Amino acid sequence: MAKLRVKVQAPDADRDAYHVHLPTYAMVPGSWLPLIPGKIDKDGVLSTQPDGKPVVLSPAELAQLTCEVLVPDDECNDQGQPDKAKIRQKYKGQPRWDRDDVLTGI
Amino acid sequence: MPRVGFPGGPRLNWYDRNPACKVGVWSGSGVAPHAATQRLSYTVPSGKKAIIEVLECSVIRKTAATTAGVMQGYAVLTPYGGPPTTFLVAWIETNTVDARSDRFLGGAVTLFAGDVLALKTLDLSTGGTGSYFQAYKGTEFSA
Repeated sequence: MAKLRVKVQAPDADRDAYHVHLPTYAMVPGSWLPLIPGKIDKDGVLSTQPDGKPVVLSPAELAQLTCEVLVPDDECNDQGQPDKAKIRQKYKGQPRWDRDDVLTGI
Repeated sequence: MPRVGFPGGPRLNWYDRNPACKVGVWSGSGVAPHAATQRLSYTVPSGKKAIIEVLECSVIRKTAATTAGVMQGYAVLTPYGGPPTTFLVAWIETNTVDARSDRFLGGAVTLFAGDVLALKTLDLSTGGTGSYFQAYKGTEFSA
C-alpha cells in the first residue's frame, strides 16, 4: 500500500458523505488538514458548531481540505502516486474510473 | 470418442482463480462529532469478483455530548449501475459514556465487477467524542 495525501471531496449527488475520489482506499486516522477550530477536526468536518448550528465550509476551506489515504500498490506509479493508466486498466469499462479525467482534482 | 464434461477440464474453484486477500481497516478514537465521512472504499476491478468474508462496524461513546445525536458506523453497498444501499449499521443514540453498538457480518457478501463497498461514520451530536472500528476482509478472484 502507498500512503499519500489527497483532497477530500464534499458530498455530491453520488456519494452522501465526505470522501476521496479514488476507487479503493483507507483513510489514515487523525490525518485531516487544515485543522480549523469549530469546523475541521483531525478526523473530519465537524457536524455542528458549539452553539448547535451546522458547520458550513466556505469554498476556500473546502478546496484546502486534505487527508492521508492508503492506496493499493497496483494503482500507483514508482513514486507512490496514483497512476491514471493503471487505474483505467484495472477498472476498464467502469464509467467512474475508466475515463481521461479520472485523477482530476485529487 | 466424444469428451464428457467441461472442454479443457473442470473450472477451478473460486479460491483457486488468482485469489488475492483484500483488507481494509479504519479505527478512530476520541473522534469529535462529524458529518458523514467515507473512511474505507473497495471497488471490485473489472474481470474480478470478491467474497467479503468479514465485515465489522463498531461505535462507542467515549465522552458525553452536550446534546446527544445519532452516532453511526455503517456499510454501504453500491452495485454497479445501481443505487447505494446501507446494509449494516452500528448505531447509538444515548449519551451514556461507554455505550456501544457492534455489528458483524461473516461470509455472506459476494461482489461483482464495479460494485463498491464503502464503510462510513457520522456523529450528529454537539460535543463529546466517540471511538470507531470498521473493517472488511475479502478474497478477490478472477471472474
